[in-house]
Amino acid sequence: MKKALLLFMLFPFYLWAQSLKISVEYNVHSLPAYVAFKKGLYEKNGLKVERIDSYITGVALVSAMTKGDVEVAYLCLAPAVLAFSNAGLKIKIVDQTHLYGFSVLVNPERIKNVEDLKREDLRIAVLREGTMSDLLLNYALRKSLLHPQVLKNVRRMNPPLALMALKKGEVDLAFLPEHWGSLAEGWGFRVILSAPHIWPGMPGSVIVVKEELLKKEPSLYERLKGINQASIAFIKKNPQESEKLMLEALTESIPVEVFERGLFLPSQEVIRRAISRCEYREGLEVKKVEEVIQFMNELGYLQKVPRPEELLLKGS
Amino acid sequence: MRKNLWGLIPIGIALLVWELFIRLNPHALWPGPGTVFLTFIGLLKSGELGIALFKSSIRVFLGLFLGTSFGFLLGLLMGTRKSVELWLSPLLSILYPIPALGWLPLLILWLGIGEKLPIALIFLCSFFPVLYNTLRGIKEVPQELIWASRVLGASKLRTLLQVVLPLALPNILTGLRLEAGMAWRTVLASEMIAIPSGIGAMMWKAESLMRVDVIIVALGVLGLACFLSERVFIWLENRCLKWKSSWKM
Repeated sequence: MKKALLLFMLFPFYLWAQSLKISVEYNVHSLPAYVAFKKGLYEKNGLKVERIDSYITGVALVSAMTKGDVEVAYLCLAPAVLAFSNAGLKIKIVDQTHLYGFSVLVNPERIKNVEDLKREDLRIAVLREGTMSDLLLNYALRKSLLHPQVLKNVRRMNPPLALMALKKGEVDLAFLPEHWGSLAEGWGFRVILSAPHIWPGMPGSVIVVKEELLKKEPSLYERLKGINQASIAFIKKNPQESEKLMLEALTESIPVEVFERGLFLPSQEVIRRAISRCEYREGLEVKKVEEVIQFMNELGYLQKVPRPEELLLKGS
Repeated sequence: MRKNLWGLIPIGIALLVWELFIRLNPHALWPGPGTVFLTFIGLLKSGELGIALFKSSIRVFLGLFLGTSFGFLLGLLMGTRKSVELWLSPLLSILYPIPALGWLPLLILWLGIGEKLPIALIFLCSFFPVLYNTLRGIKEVPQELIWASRVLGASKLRTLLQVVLPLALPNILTGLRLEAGMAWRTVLASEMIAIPSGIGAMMWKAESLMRVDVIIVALGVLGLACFLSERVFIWLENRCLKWKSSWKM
């Protein structure tokens, strides 16, 4: 009994003793995580974080999470739903980190205006099924912004490959998370539409924690939520410093899929544009989670359809 | 019949071990045979599996047909014309060992990502083996038989059609039988990488959506398709080579 009491009292130190494994997607959606890391917000809240790992897409991140390599993830909502529904990963969503953050990038020689997007012969690059980019493409199809038959010309690839495909003329447009769209603007491509034009109120990324970790330390939920609020407040108050932090992070931690570092490294100007296409905002609405779950189910992506409450902690 | 039933026992044991393992270690990424079977029925009912299988089959059939036809014709030419054989052999010896999938990056650049790509890959996958088997088959025909046919007054064409080709057929069909399975493996790989439809694309999508049950169904269907293709060629071999059992040199 005494032993148990001692363990209980010492438990908060567990979080100090063991480094928390945090991972993010390699794009500007991860800014709140990097702000928290670089400004010491994790430490201030009693969490030991030695480094943040980045993955090329949310789906890649979820794969790592199923293998036990990740405890806390900043990732898009759709892969989080997939992880819960199809991989049976016991996770909880703590909070939202941003809305939007996706762009439709076009080759201006092939597509001059939004009306041109309705051509049947267009070749499209998009991230794999179950990502928010893929959901945005399907949303655009539903809103008849694209020709219904264009799905047969959709090629699945990660962002660096999509940019190379655009560059080589193998595809005419791409649905990509930011900063990739803003990066390619510097190569002569054009962002013709952003997420708010296609899907008003489109949910972006969320913070996800493994349930077993929350059971061990329930205060982790409040701490991560508080850190997120502080990070977003910092981003809003210090836009230029945030840009620099993001640039630093994207330069330091590059996933292996970014095969040509020199080509894909963004400038601060690129980061500024990319950040302006994200709306960093905490407070996830249950109806937004429900909307995404329903949409994914309609697309046939979910093995079992979860209730939003199963994914959310009370008050997230 | 009894022999075939014996073969079902290991399958039954494997299914049982699988089910037991899943029950002892339940995990969403390890579906049991029951779940996989239900997914199979679901995919069948929705038509998704049928469409994917149909598209892959068309690619395999077209690729095999073209590869086999051209391989056979060139093999025939090389087998009957010494000059052509001498001329082309070095080049073909260099190209033959390259695995069909090794051509993929080059074909993506040359043909682009599209319907032509898997067909071209299967073409390459079947062309060289059929060519070599045809050539070997023709070379192995005893010269005495060709001379005898010619001495008895048969024309060159008749000798080719009634002596050389029937004797070369076992080699050609064996090559085809082995390549039919390989064609399915090749179409799977190319659909995973480049084409958004077919069994390979279905598996790739399932991997992205973490649907292990769908991946297992696709693997099962692929295994069955390879098995059936091989069976078709065995049946063809048996039918075409009936004469062989009663024939002795």
